Amino acid sequence: MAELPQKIEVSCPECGQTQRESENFISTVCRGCGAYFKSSRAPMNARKKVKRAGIKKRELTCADCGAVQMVADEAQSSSCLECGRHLELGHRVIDGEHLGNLVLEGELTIGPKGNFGGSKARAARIVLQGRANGFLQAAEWLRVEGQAHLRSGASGEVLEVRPGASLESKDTLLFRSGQIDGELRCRTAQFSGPLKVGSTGKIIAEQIVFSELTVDEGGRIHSQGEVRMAAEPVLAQAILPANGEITST
Amino acid sequence: MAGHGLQIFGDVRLEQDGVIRAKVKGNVHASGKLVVAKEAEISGAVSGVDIRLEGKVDAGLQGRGRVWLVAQSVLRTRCAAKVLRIEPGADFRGELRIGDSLDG
Repeated sequence: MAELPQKIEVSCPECGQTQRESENFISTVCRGCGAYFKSSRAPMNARKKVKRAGIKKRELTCADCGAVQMVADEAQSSSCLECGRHLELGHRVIDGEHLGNLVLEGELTIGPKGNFGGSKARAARIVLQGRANGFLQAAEWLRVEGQAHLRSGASGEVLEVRPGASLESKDTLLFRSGQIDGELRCRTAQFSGPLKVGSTGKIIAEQIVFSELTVDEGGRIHSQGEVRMAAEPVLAQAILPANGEITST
Repeated sequence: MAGHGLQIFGDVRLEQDGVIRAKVKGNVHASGKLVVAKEAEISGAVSGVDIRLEGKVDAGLQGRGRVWLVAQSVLRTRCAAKVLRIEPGADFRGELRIGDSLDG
């Protein structure tokens, strides 16, 4: 009786999912993502195609015009197909003095001894442990992890001040939302969305503006405050039964 | 019982948990939990332990526990509490002092 071909485990070059195939298989379709791929035992020209199909790509949004294009995962730079702007895709760490402006699509880290001395730095994500004389703009988030100082303010999507960290800003902070678990000292901080102060968070400011605010037990705020931006009404639910007694004095 | 149309001139003291639905020309002090209902308007200050604000308070609010400002509520002057939640749609403008010792 003839032996049945043995099964081998193969992985999809697109999504990495593994599946079992006959050891003699020439090509197959991934049961995870549906990608068609060939066996590594296939002829040489076919193998090249499989390799090219395996290049991982990611979406890249131009910080200037907002156009979206696909770039290779490993690419360090590209040019916007719409506006032609040079896009630096890698990450940057500033451990000393940095003069000049910065525009990154990746992550910018300003280390504990780092100082950004340019007038403006823009990155998708910014980790701030040191100082910045110039304005910082974080498309996704600005995370404060050390004892940080800002001279010209910052803006972006999310401001996070981690537990044990502190941020002192001499100018306005403009963010969509904030999660404050460390200490924030500033003149004005504006959040167009929710602001949350955790149990280890503290805000000392001249003014904070928000659309909603949550302060956990242990969290502290000393500031003038103001709610701005109308939101959808929320149904009221009583926190206690209506069984009280009122006496006029 | 303080319902629609009732106005109280003077301070109000609640010895237990309660709900204010009246217009009060004065301060309101509660020894326990307090709800300032949406039809309530208080020209003075409000103090209590846990306070839920659905109506309007002009001269500030001090909760020794949790303070909750729901949507459509209006608070002016000051808000002091241990724990605070201001929902979207609430109208607050004034001083925020959250997390200080408020027992004294």
